[in-house]
Amino acid sequence: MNPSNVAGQAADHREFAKQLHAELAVPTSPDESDRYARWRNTRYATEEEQIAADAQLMAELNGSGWNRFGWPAEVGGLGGDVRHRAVLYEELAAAGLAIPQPTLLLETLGPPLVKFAPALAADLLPRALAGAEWWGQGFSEPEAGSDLASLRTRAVRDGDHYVVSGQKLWTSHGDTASRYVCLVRTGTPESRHRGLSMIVIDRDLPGVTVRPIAIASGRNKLAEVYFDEVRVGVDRLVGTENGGWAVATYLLQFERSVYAWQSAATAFGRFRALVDAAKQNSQADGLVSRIGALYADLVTLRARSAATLRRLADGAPVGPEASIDKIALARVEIGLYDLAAELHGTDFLFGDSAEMNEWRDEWWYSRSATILGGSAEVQRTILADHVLGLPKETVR
Amino acid sequence: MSVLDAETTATIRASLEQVFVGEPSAITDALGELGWSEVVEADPVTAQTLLFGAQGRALAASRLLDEVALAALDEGFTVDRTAVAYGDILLGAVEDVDTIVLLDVDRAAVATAADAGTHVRSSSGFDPGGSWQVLDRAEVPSVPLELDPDAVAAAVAAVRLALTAEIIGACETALEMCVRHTTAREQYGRPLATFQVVRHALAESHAAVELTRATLTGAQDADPALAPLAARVAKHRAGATHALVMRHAIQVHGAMGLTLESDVHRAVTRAAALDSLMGSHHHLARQLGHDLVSGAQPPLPIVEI
Repeated sequence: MNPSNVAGQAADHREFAKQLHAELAVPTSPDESDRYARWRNTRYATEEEQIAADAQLMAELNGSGWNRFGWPAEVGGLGGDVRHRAVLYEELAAAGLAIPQPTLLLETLGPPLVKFAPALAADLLPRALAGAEWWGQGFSEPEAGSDLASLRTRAVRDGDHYVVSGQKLWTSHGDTASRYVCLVRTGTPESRHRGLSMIVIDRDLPGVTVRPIAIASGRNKLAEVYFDEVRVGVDRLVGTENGGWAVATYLLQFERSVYAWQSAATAFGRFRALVDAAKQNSQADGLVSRIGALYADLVTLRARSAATLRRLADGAPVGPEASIDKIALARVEIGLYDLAAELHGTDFLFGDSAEMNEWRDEWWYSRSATILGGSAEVQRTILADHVLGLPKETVR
Repeated sequence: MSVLDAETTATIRASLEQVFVGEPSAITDALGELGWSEVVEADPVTAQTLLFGAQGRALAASRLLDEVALAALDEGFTVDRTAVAYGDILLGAVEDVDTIVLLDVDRAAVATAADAGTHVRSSSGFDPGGSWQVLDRAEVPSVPLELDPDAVAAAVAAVRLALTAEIIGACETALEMCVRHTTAREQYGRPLATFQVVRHALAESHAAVELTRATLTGAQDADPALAPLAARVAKHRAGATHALVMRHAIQVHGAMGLTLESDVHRAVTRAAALDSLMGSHHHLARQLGHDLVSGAQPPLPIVEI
C-alpha cells in the first residue's frame, strides 16, 4: 500500500506514524499476504547477507514511498523532517523489521550532503534511499583515532580533480559500501582541523583498495580503505576546500543524536526479548534491580533523543550538547548487553544456538558504543570544554 | 511541551531565586508579589518544574510539596490546615495544622494533628538543615481515605515529579559549586579542573543532570494513563543522578567536601533526603524490574517523538 494523503502526513509526523504502523502490522486477514514476511525477525549468518537483505527492505519501502518522508523533494523526498525518519525507524523496529544497516550512515552522511552539497545530494541520496547503494564514512586513520584533526590522508588539487592518497580505518560497512564520505587533508600537514576537506570518493575508482575487518565475534562490521593516487572530481567536494571541519561538526550532531534514537529503538526490541528470557526462571534480586534500572536508562535515552530530534526538526543547532545523547546511548548499549550476558550465563558463553550467537555478536558490537563516533572520553572532554567551560586540560 | 518561551522561562527562573532566600514562612508572600498564580495559570506543569527546581537550587525547605500532594488528591484538603506524611516523614512542624494525610505509595489515610502531636519528633539526622519531622505511625490512629487507587497513584506520581525537579535543582547547585571550586583551586601549579579525571567527573555529572531533566519532561508529556510509571522512572533517574553527582562533588572538593567549611554537605544531605521520599532510586529500580519480570508491566517506551 502506498501512503495516502502525503501532504497531510508530511505536515504531521504523528499522522505518518499512525499510517505507517498500520502498513507494517502483520495482516490479520488470511487472504492478505504479509509484504514484509521475509524481513520479519530474520537474521543472517554474515554481515554481507544482512546488509543486502536490509537494502532490499529499503527498496521495498522506497518503491511505496514510506522511507521518503523526512527528506526534502530535491533529493527525492516527500517532505517532513527528521521526526518522520525517527518514526520510520521506530515502527520498523517495533514490527520486528530490523532498522536497515545502511540507514545508520545515511542518517549521519545524508543531512550534511543536503546542506553542503545539494547537487551531489540530489544525485546520490535517491539511490541510497532506494537501497541501490550505501556509503561508508572515512574519518579514522591508523594515526588518527580520537585525535581526528591529526589525520593525514592527502588530497592535492590537480585541475578539476583532487589526487587522494592515504588510508582510512574502522570504516563501518566499508567492505560493501559503494562510496566513502571522507575527511582529507587539503591544507599543510600542521594545519590540524583548519586544513581538512570533506569529499565523496567512489569505491570503483582506480587506486581504491578495501580489506574487511572482522570484529571479535567474526562479523565483518568494519574495513580499512586504501587510496593510492585516486583521482576524484572537484564536484565531489562537500562544502568548501579546507571547510571540512564545519561539515564534520554539523554531521556529528546527527551522528550523535539520530544514531542514538535508532539505537534506542533497536535496544528496546532487544530489551523486550531479554525480559521474556528473564521471565523463564527466577532471577536474583540484583539482576531484577538491574533490569529495572536498564529500563529507566532506555526511557531516559528516548526522552533525551526525542528532545534533541525536536530541536533538529526546528532547525536549532544541537552542538556539543549532542555528547550527552551519546553518553546516554553508550550507557544503554553497554548495560543491555552486559545484562544479557549475565542473564544467559553459561549459555551465553558456551551455547551454540542462533539466539546465543546473536547475543554474542551484539555484545561485541555494543563495545563500540564507547569508541566510535568519538570515544566516551572524547564526549566528556567536549562537555568539559564547550558546555561547562572548564579551564583547558594542559599537557605537562 | 512548555507554552512559555525560553526567554520567559529564564526570567521566571531568575525571579524565583529571590523567593527562597528568606524564611519558609515568607515564600507564599514572595510568590504572590511575583504574580506566581499567572504563571501557574499559563502553564501549570512548567510552573511546578520551575518552582521546585528553584527550591532545589536554593537547598531550601518548605511545605510546597504538601500543596502538590493535596491538590492531586483533590479531596478538599488545604495546605494551611493539613500536612502530609510521606511514609513516616513530614516536611515541617505540625503545630499549625489540624489534619495529617498519611500518604503511602498505594494508599492514603487521615489522622488528626492532635493524635499525632506527641508522636512526632524533629529529626536532626543526616540533613539537619531540613526541618524534617518523623512520625511514629504505629502509635497514631488513622482512618483510611476511601479513594480510587488511581487517585492515590496520581497523587504519588505528582509528588514524585515535583521531587524529581527539586533533586535536579540540588544537583545543579552542587555542580556549580564543583565548577567554581575546581576552577579556582590550584594544585601542582594548575587549577584542579585542568586534570582530566576531574573534568570527566564533572562532565558526567552534567550529563546525568541534563538526562534527568529530559526524563522529567518526557514523563510530564507522557500519556496520562502512563503517568504513574513515567513518574517512577523519573524519580529513579533523579535519585541515581543525585548519587553520582554527590559522590563526585564530595571528591573534587577534597577535604573541604566532608567538612562544614564548604556548603557541599548541604546539597549532599538535602538530595539524599529527597531521594528517600516516596521510594529511593534503589527501591524504584527493584520495583520497575519486578513489574517487568512478573509481567505486571510491559516495557513501554513512554516517550513519543
